[in-house]
Amino acid sequence: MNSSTDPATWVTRHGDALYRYALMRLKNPSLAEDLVQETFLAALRARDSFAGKSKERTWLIGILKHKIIDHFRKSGRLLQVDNIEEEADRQDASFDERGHWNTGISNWRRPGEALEHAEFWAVFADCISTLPPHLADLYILREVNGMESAELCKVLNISTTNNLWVMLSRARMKIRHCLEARWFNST
Amino acid sequence: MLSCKEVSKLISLSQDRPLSPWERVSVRLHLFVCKLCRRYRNQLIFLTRAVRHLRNPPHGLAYKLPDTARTRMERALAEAASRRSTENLNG
Repeated sequence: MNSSTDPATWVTRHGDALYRYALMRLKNPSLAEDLVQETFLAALRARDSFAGKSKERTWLIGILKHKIIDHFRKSGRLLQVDNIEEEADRQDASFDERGHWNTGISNWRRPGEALEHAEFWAVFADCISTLPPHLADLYILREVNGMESAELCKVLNISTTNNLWVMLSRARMKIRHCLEARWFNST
Repeated sequence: MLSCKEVSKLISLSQDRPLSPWERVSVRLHLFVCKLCRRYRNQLIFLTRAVRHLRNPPHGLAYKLPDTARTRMERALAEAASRRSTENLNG
């Protein structure tokens, strides 16, 4: 047994890192805690299969990643959203009936500087959480988890990648709009 | 000529799959004459760059596992570990 996999030290050495990882993807502290705990327990059961090929942290994150995807899958709120989205797309208020911008698009000055402000990240997180839940899940899995389209469709039961892309486009548009209203036009 | 609505979708799409040559040309042509869509494209690029910072916690967001959760997890792990060793002894 490799001494570096002593479970008694896991929480101290990896607890914060796993918690941050989960929180960035779930936006829900108590759920993040639960999944981190489940990860540790699952790791304990699977400890014998940890061959020490990867770093202990990487191994634990790998388990956590699966727990998070499982959570999204089980939450089931992504099922049957395809039709809703088609409808929403037809009534998109950002454009007039000829497809021209209805809302203005402001000129953001020095957006890169926003990244340095803790307040900006709070607004960003808030904007993600104002999305309809299924769009927020999708957006986080795609952009924060970096999942590829085909995998995302499989995990979330979306019928075609085309529908996935339409939903991603809507999520990005909504977040852009929210950031403009709450950060770039208000400072 | 594509509409702004169509172009906005293609701009987003280009972050998920490569555009076809025809799509690329149509977008470029539209962007050449449309200031709002140029802004939209730049802002979407910014957005995606920003959100990727969340893969690793960004500046100023050093979340820590709360102490209560820490204690609970350590206890759960210790219990599970001792249960396992008893089972192994008995098994």
